[in-house]
Amino acid sequence: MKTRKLYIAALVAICMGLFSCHSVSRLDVEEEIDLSGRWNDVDSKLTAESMIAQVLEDAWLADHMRAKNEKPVVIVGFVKNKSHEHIEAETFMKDIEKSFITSKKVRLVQGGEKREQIRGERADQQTNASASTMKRFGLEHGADYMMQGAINTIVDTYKKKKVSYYQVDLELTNMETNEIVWIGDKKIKKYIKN
Amino acid sequence: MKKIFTLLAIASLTVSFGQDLAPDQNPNYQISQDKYMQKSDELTAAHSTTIQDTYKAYDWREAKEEQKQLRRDRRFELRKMRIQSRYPVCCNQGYRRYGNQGWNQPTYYGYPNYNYGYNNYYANPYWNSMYLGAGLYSIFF
Repeated sequence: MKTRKLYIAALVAICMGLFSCHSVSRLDVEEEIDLSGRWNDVDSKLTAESMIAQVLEDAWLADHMRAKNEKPVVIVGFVKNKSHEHIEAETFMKDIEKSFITSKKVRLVQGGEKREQIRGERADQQTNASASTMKRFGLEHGADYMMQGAINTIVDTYKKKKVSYYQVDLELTNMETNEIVWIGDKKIKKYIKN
Repeated sequence: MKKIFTLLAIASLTVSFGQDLAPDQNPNYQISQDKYMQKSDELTAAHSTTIQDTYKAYDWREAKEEQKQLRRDRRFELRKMRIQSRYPVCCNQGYRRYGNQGWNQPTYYGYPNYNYGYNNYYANPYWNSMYLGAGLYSIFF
């Protein structure tokens, strides 16, 4: 009798476990899945691809090479998200930065918090590292251009239909002359029917 | 003689100042440089980041859902207030914590302590699970 009760209890526990469990599966990152219609990885990827093609093929690069006879040095400033959704620009900005390095056409310098951390480490080396390995201050590369950007959206809804328009703009500005030498954009329009 | 020295000093200063300037550079550049040197840390802190300056777009479905949720919350609050006003002592956690003042036990004020199961904020989760366990046991065994 007691064992029967135990069997029933175990069966109930198994049933409860089966109902509460969820499944997880790994997907290919190239696979395009749109669920809610909001900004997602596919949009980020499309933006990165388009921007990379534009920034590395545009005339500003050739102009700089002609004038200075060396690769331009770029620093990344901020991207302002003025859309109606939370969008993290780092996902496509990192792809663009990576393309600068892998293409070997543009040199990139660190900015923001990471630069502060590097300077902090360099300061630490002044008192803790051996004289032969210590790195000196005042030898950083000065950027020729700064990359900045903005994300804007326009949303149009009527009953269960919705059109979302995203525009991502990036621009490169000459650090000395303040001249904008390149503007790239990516426009995405989505029709969502609920 | 003094005049000559003064003129020479002015001339040398002008020459040295002029040498610092690049061709076509604004002679007042130092004013701007000093201004921005003061706050360069603050201005470069947001490098490589996304500044979130989002707005709320009107969505017909979301607005409808929000209204629904508001109505639901309002009804719940009203029900809660009604129960609290009817039995003010039941919610006095300070006195309940000490002494045996469980369900239907006389409280500090002499009122019975009705612990309503529905929307009951104040029920102890430990006792809830105990009751649930006891219920399940009674069903199966």
